[in-house]
Amino acid sequence: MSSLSALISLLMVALIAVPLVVLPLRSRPSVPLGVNVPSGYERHPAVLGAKSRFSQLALVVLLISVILVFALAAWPLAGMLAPMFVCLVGITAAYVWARQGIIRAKRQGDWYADARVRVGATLTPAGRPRMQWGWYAASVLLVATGFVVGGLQYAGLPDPMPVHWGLNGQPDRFDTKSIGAVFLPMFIALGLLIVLALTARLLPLGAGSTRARGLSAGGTPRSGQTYEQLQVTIGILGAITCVTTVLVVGVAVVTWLDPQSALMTAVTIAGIGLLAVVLLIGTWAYVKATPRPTAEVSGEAPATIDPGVSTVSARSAGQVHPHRASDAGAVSLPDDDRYWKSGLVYSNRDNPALWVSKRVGIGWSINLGHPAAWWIIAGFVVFIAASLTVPLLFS
Amino acid sequence: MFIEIDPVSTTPIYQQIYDSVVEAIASGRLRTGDPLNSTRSLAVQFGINVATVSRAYDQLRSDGLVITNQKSGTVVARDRDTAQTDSRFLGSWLPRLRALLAEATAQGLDATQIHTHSGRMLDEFDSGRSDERFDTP
Repeated sequence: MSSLSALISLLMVALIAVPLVVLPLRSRPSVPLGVNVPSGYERHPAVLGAKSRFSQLALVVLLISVILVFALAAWPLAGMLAPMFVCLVGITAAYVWARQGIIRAKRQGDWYADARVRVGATLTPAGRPRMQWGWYAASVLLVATGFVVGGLQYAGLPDPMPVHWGLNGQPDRFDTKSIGAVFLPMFIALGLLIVLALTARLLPLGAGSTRARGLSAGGTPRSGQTYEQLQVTIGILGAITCVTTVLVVGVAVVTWLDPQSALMTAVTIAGIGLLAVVLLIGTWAYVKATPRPTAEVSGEAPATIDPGVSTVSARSAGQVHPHRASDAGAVSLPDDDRYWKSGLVYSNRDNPALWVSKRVGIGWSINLGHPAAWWIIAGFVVFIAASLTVPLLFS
Repeated sequence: MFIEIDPVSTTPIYQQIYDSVVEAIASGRLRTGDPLNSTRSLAVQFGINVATVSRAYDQLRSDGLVITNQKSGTVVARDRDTAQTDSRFLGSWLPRLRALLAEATAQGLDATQIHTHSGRMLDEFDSGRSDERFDTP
């Protein structure tokens, strides 16, 4: 079945390559390749040059990955993992390298010298994004059902029982029957459920933003967009939890009821398809909740009033930003490149936010400078390791 | 209610936050009793140190503009319609007004121009708007 596995390998490579290539180029014009540039510089030759260099390099990496898929067709596992790995590492390297061109040009040209930089916040409470417990209640119910079905079917299962199926739907690995072996999928589903629920619950607590919150008619930031992004993120996490649980429980139940069935391939494909749909809808919803800056000042009065630095107080008299009076144009975000290590991970001790919204792509990045960050990462790792090894202790 | 700061301005950030709240009260967008977000929430949104926001809030507290209590957090304590009760305020504000007027006069603005600018800004407070655009004479 090497043509099927080759096809799947190609799909996996595409799944990795497409977001890795498209997102740095398209997601936010003011942050090309993960480099902050002030308003008006989005189409600067240095930026366009770096983007095209990145695209070309990424194409080369993609080509190499595709060649690898076919070259390694005889080894199904290596034939899938090696091209994916090459693709991931190669495109990431191209990203890190290409963006240096923009950083250099920015520094040499001192692009931020005349930029009108603003960052906004809501002063009065706007409400906390709501946790959507429905998804998790449904998932818990599904897992409970899984446990019940597994319990009922337990006696009738063969020993040794199949624990892995090849691409043709035939079992290719067997294991002695035990509680751990039979219920492993349920434990995994439970572990995933808890981790995703915790993530969704804790996300709003530490969510700051390094991006604009939407711009009003006057080109200045509008309130509440981070709230909407958070709301959408919480929803996406819930939907992913539910669909993943359906997938895992569904496959497990099918293996218990009829281990030789072709139904399993169908359930797996349906589950993955459902997950892809959820991810697509989620991405669209998140992008919709993310504001796009307006570059021109329109004639109408701003819908929300934005007090800037006032000169009423003599404590600040004479310290007005020199460019405010003349520059009625677009607003830029602060240049926080120095906190984004290699443009990939965010670390800033002075920022009390635990999560910052990603500059490239959608979602949130953990702030490694926050004291709790490493604990959370450790917690995730320990939890996932535990939920995989604890069932093995049963057997 | 939404405020913004300029992180690269020579004006300290705590000062900008303070000025934003003062202006919001002056233009009626904040009224007595309106709650303000916690220092932590504001700091997280801006991505700045909590101490910076605390300093702004402390100054607002000591000037009698907000009060903080354990139960409801920080709340606006007065608005422009509250009767003026603090005689110390005039004592600290008049010298600053004098400094501003002296500076304007020294830089060549005449009384009419100063009155025009002042009147326009006071009108903006009254109408609940404040405009960042400056007229160049």
